[in-house]
Amino acid sequence: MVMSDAPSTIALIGNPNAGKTTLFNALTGANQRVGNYAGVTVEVKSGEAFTPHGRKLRVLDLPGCYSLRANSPDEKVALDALNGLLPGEQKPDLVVCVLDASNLERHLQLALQVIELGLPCVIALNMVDVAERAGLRLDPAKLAEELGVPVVPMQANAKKGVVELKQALRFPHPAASEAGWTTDGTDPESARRAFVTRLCELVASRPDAHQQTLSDRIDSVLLHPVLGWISLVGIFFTVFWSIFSFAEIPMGWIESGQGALGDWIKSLMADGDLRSLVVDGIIGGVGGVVMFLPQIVLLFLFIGLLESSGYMARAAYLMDGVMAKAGLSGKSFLPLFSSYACAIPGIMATRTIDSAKERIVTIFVAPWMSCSARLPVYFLIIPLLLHEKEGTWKQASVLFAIYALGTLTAFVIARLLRGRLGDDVSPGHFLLELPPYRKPQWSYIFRHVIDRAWSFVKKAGTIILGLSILLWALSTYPKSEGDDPAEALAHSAMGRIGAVIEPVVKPLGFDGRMGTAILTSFAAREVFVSSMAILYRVEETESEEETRNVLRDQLAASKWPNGRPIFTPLSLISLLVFFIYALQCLPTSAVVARESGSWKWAVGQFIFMTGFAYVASLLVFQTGKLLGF
Amino acid sequence: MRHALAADLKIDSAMTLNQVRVGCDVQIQVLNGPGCERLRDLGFCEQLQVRKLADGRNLICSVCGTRMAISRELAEQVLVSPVG
Amino acid sequence: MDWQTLTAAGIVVMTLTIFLVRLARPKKKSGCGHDCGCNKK
Repeated sequence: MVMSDAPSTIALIGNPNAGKTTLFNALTGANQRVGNYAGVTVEVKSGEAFTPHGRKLRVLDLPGCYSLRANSPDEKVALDALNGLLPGEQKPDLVVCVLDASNLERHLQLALQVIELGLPCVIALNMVDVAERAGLRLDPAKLAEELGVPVVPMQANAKKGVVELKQALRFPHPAASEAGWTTDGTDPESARRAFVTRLCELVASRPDAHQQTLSDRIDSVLLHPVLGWISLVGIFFTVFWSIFSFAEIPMGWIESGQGALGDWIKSLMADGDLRSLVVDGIIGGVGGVVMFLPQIVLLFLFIGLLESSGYMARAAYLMDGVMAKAGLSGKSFLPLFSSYACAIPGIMATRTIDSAKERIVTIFVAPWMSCSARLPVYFLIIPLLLHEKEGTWKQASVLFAIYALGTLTAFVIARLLRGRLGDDVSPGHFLLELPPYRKPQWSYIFRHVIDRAWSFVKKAGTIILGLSILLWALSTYPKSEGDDPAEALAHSAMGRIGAVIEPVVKPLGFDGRMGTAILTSFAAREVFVSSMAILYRVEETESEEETRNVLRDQLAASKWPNGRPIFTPLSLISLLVFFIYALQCLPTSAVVARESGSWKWAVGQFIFMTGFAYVASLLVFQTGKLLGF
Repeated sequence: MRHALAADLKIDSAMTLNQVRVGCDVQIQVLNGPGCERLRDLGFCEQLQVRKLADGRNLICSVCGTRMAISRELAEQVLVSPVG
Repeated sequence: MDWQTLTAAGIVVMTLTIFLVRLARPKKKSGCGHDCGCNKK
């Protein structure tokens, strides 16, 4: 047979939690996301590997699935991939079934289904270390004999067995096996099951069915009806508190660094447009946003930790009851919780939700879990509201209240929407695997956090930088005669836009400049802070003061033409409410359109949320005024 | 070894997973209901042993060493008999 | 017009052009591919 030069395509398939993605990384050397909350891998990733003979292999990491019955979008993608139905992909040349050796009774089903498809197959019997510790006696040779396919025992996370697996993948590939367990006339399901039971007795005999493990002991607390809830609230509250207090120190450094940079630039050139552009526009604008990097890093770090240790599944289990009040299930918990960091990965995580209607509702309300982009805005306003410096526990409480408000409203709307959508065609039920607690995998957590931090910095360096420059230009030109900064602002393009907007936002308690800043924040929420810094520009900054403190002082001193202060507590609350509810992120809308399958959902969501934000703000401000605040 | 599903015989005399006391070991006899397929996929197969770990809105069970949480509606479809 | 105003104006025009070009050119990377860093590849 002539050795073909085209690389073979190898598909990796297996249950979620079987270590498939770890194996993928070990084979291809790429760094992918691994989570042990079932369903985190949601797209088909591809990479390259080489056999010991130097032959190139193209490896596809299919989404984790329990069977090829295509119950969820994940499983459908996997099935399509195996049948060669994925756009741009042909049938794989060989399938590697990654099975958890300590769980063959459950995992073998999938392998049998794959073999029945007639594809050449190699079994990667992973997690042999776990099986050994559980006291299982494995017989890979017998398994290979019974199934008619090569079986390679391995431990992917320690890179053991990878070389042997590559050997098994050498060309020519092993032939597809005959599915010897199906006979004409028998229901394939029961034939498979009977075969699996018999096989397990032969090759993976189990000493004692249910030993109490360390995980169980931990769960006796964390899943306890009372203690479990207390732990849940305690854990999440600690996470939020830690984020906001630990971040203080690095934030302080960034602020002083900014101040020093500004002073240095000022010493380089005389007063003029370029100096103003650099100091007020660029440093002020971009700096106001980069300041939040510590918080964002900590938030993603904690989410990664919770996921990696296995706690997230417990949280989903505990939250199932609460989610039901919103018409959702515990499976919506992780997507919604992730949305506190950023709605985009949260919305993508909804692919594990079986019920199509629950899924669309989760996607619809996800943006109301206040995402990290809103933090700069909240942090600007809260201290102003409380007349305090940043970082007190009172502020943490206000922040908590903000998150709670967004979350509660989301639940109410979710419930209403779910009711309107009607029942599912085939009702799904709550079904969740609780993986054993594991030590967090620090390397992948750090890589993930660095990825997010880098993309945040990139966003700051590109979009926000550009917008800051443009905003500066809009608020500087056209210039007016004279030195009065207020008059200069009113004369500029920005000032004129502000004047036009003012009647629209005045009922909400905002002036034209805030209206303009809100408009700009539709491009990116963080820009609100930059815009405010530019719009309420301070002509002279003393070298010791941080940008935001100065900005806040400036804001506190601003007045309407009739002398009343603009930033009363009421108008600040109104502003906060607006930001909680407004949907101001085009990338989110794009992802919603993609995940929901139509633009209508994305547009509808945008209109609904923005309208809701306007009305809510209006209600808050006008009611407050009526009550005399 | 054949595992005959004498469904009609066994359904009457068995109890559901919901009725089992926490901490008890049982053996699955029959899966009866619309959620069978999914249950089997996740490891709740006939003849397998299950230990019920927790009750409530969703049950927690241990099957073949794996902890699973399933809803009451699904547990209603799992008919079991005591072991030992 | 002094050199500062000139340079500043130049930077602004360049930024504006970049933005318009990015808006006009259909992006090859759909929705969320790269900028939000959520690791979807």
